[in-house]
Amino acid sequence: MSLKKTLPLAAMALAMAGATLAGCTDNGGSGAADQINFMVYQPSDQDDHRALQDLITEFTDETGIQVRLNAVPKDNYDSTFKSAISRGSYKPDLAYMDQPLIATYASDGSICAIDELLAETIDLEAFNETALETNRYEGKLYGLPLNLTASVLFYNRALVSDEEAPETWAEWEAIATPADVALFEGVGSGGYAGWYFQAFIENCGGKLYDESTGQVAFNSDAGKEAAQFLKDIYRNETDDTIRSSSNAFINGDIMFKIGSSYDIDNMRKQNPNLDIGAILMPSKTGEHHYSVMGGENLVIPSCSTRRESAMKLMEFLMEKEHMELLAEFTGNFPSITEYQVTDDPVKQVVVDQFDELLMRPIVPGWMSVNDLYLGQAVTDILDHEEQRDIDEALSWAEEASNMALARQ
Amino acid sequence: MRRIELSRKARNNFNGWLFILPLVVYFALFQLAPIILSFFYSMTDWNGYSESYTFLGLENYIEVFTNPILYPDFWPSIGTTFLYVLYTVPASLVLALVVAALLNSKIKGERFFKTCFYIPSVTAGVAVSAMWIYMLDPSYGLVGAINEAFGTDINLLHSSSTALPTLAFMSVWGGLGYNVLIVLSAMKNINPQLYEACEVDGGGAIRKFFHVTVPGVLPTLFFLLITSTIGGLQAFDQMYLMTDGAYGTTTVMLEIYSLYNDNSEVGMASAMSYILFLIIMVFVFIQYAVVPQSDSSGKRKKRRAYGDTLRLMVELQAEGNR
Repeated sequence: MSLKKTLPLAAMALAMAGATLAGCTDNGGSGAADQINFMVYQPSDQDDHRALQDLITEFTDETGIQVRLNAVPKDNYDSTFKSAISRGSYKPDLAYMDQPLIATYASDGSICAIDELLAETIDLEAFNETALETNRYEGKLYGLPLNLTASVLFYNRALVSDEEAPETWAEWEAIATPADVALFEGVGSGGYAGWYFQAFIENCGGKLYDESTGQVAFNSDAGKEAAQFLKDIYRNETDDTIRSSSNAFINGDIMFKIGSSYDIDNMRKQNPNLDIGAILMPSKTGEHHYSVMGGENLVIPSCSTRRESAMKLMEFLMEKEHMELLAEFTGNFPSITEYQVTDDPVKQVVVDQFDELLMRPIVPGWMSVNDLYLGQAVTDILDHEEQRDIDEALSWAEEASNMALARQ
Repeated sequence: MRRIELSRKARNNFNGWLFILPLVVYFALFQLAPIILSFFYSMTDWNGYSESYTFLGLENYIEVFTNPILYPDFWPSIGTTFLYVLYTVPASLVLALVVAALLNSKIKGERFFKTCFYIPSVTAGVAVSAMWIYMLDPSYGLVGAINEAFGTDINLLHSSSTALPTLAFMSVWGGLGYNVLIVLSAMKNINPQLYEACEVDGGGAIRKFFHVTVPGVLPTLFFLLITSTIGGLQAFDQMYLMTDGAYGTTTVMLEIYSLYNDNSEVGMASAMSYILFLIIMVFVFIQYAVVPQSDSSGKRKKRRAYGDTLRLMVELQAEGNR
């Protein structure tokens, strides 16, 4: 082959190699000078996506700041966020963040404190106090709560009358179950089990973490009692079989289920005949009705070079109608107390539950404790096959958690 | 201007390099670099996104062996993975051989059966998993119907004794079509005169199968043995989608993924992946050395075992890093 023929081939090959390499370049920031990158959860459908896009266009029209939306499916969000802040092509200037992750990202400097950036127009006292507190780490504010929800106890009104709906654990445990129906859908496994366990331990007078010692506190009498109560309401293996079936509560095979506001419309959509009731989380004595909280915060990653513009977008999204729209996408409620209005009696129970919310310990690395150790211990205790002893499981989880927290 | 004259050999070399340049770039960036980088990360406490990390030397490796409190699931997950390989690989090979032999016996509708067997192989794993989840549902699926009709309490995916074998069965079912096609094409290449010679010697169908067919497809079976073993050792999707590792189905890839993705322990996850790499390397080398192949000459076989094992391991580690 002559050089004349080789040169075009060489050009082609180099172009292909160049194209391969082009995908690996890092433009290091937000692109255009007046553009910010906003990383959000992917709305569940096209209509919501369009509504979000329209909201952003409205912001651009109002302020002149261009916004590039990066909508990421919720399941992959955290890993995508990590990649984006460390080596992504479009590093986020503003981003959604799950509440319990704030401490981890604040402690290693991945997100920045916003106290000094905060405009006077933002009234911090208007927010649900617990939701706002999830944004604080070592006295500094690292974000604002965008929306929140609470877990309540749903019941199937065809199987449980409103009068029977329990306020205390004893009342709950005493409910008789018809044949082929399970009492309780359960607390799930792994991370979910660790998350819901907090409601049970605190409704029994215990807690997950002792701030004074910096050690976990769930291997206590209250923790063991909560685990035993859960084991009791799990009942037997027939209940296990019903529980493991798809949509068992929705199909009317289970009396009680823990869930949040986003479950309500979904359950009604899947089974329009399902008559759902809801109550605050029962407790040991009925005195308190603590429950766990979910929701998203807005944070500014430290890699952002346009923090003031990001702050403007954050303030814009905190306006009433914008906050309501964004909350609607996830089925949650706005985090500002005044905006938490509903005429649905089942959703109203979720709003009522906001008065007794629990946030997860604000400790770096808590999610590992929750998912790997506490969640695993609760899962093993409730597994009818495993039959792991409560003392043994909680002791192991305590030792492993304290070891993991000491490394943070 | 002076014209550059290249020798014919140099021109051929130059052109060859040009053609493979995109692949070389791809290999270097997306396979070789992650292998090297993850080895480096395995000696750090990097969380996957921070700019800073601490160099720990071999601490992560030591910890995998000495800290069952923090990492209680790694060694059990290795056991689970090997058990899964044990369930899937022999069954896959034997079934593929039998089905291919049946299809090769000039039965009617060979094409139809080939298509039927191959459909699961070209269906998306997620769709297959969703279908199986429905079928195995103890209340509403096929199993649910059996439970209702016979008053049984079968719950295959929610029991430690049945979850892994069920997933293994799914895997064998899903891979059967591919394996059958490969073995069948090898059978079609067997010289018909060998069968005739066997017949002349008084051999029946069974003798022909064991003395002509099986030796004829042995290299193909060995190829399937290695690829199925590697596939089994990398098992992840079904466990992730169908049981999330519960009921004794946490394979080592799932354990590493969870540590990396959910808990940001990139250093430890990388160390575990290298330990797995070494374990698999030994395992595959033993297969190369012990299992009969077409070439049975001693020294050459041994040399090939080293070379082929290394080559496969690099491919495997690159796949894992991806």
